[in-house]
Amino acid sequence: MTTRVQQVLYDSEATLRLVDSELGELGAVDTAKHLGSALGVLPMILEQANKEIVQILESLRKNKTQLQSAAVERLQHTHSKLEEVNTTTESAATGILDSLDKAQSILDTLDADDTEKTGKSAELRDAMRNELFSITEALQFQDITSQQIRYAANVLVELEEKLLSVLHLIDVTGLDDARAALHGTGRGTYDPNATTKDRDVRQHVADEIFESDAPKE
Amino acid sequence: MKFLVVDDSATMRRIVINSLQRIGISDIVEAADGADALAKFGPQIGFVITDWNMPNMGGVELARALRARDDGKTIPILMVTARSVREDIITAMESGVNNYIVKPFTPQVLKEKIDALVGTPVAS
Repeated sequence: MTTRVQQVLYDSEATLRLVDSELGELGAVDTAKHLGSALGVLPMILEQANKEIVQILESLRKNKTQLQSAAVERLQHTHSKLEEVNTTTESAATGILDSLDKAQSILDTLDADDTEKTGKSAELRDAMRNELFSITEALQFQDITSQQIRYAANVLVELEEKLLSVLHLIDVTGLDDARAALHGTGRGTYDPNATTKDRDVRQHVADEIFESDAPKE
Repeated sequence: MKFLVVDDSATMRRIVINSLQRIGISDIVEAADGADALAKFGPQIGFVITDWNMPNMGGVELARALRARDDGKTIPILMVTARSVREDIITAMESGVNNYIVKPFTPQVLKEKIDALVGTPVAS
């Protein structure tokens, strides 16, 4: 496709050079002698140039349609898929938290029945409580991954905006809907550096900063 | 003392609240962002735990807004956030945040920070 566009552009350039050359001759040489024949050729040259320009525009329009369907629409689809991942993981995390609350409540009931709270069963209930809470703690991944997904989705939105700007240069028709869809895309808030890694190291940095600023006694 | 837990993620609010309950704190008010927190803030609130990235009003803006109020000048503010770039931590500190926890956190760290800010262990 690029080669074809380049070829049409070269042809148009050559035609325009021919027009330029003919017009130059009209001014530079004996006008009385050449004016009649040059003016006779000019409409033909202009018609040829016009055809080639129309061809270029058609080719660009075709490219615009291909870009719009192949790139922008796919980006929007990917964006909506990422949003779906966010919603699904949040919903799953909520479901797990609900179940954990119920399990904790069952343990509380068992505790209430066992007034002595001694022996193996009390120990086991405590162990179970710790395990259940460690699941709650692990669910923090959802908040971190949701920020990572929002970051990726935002990169896609920026890419879409750039593509739409390029498409706008080619042809403005049909882009209003795409722009409206883009502006309606919820981006949410996120930290581009959100990670679950190196928690202790990152906490240590925060502690150092706050301790260094703590009032000295 | 009533705790105000501010986070736009319902999952994170529940995790913070469960962690607080685990260390014996059960008097808790929830807010979905800084603006909601300001609307719910009052003399009954004794401690603020806030996220950073939130729509409408983020945690840093909330800290600044609280510090600008007479009744918010001395309230302990603990930020719990995924942001851990040095410059961000300094920004939080300069906005009036008293201490900082990076996500994912453990209830032990949460308790340590709360105890340090309150001056005495808040719960057993």
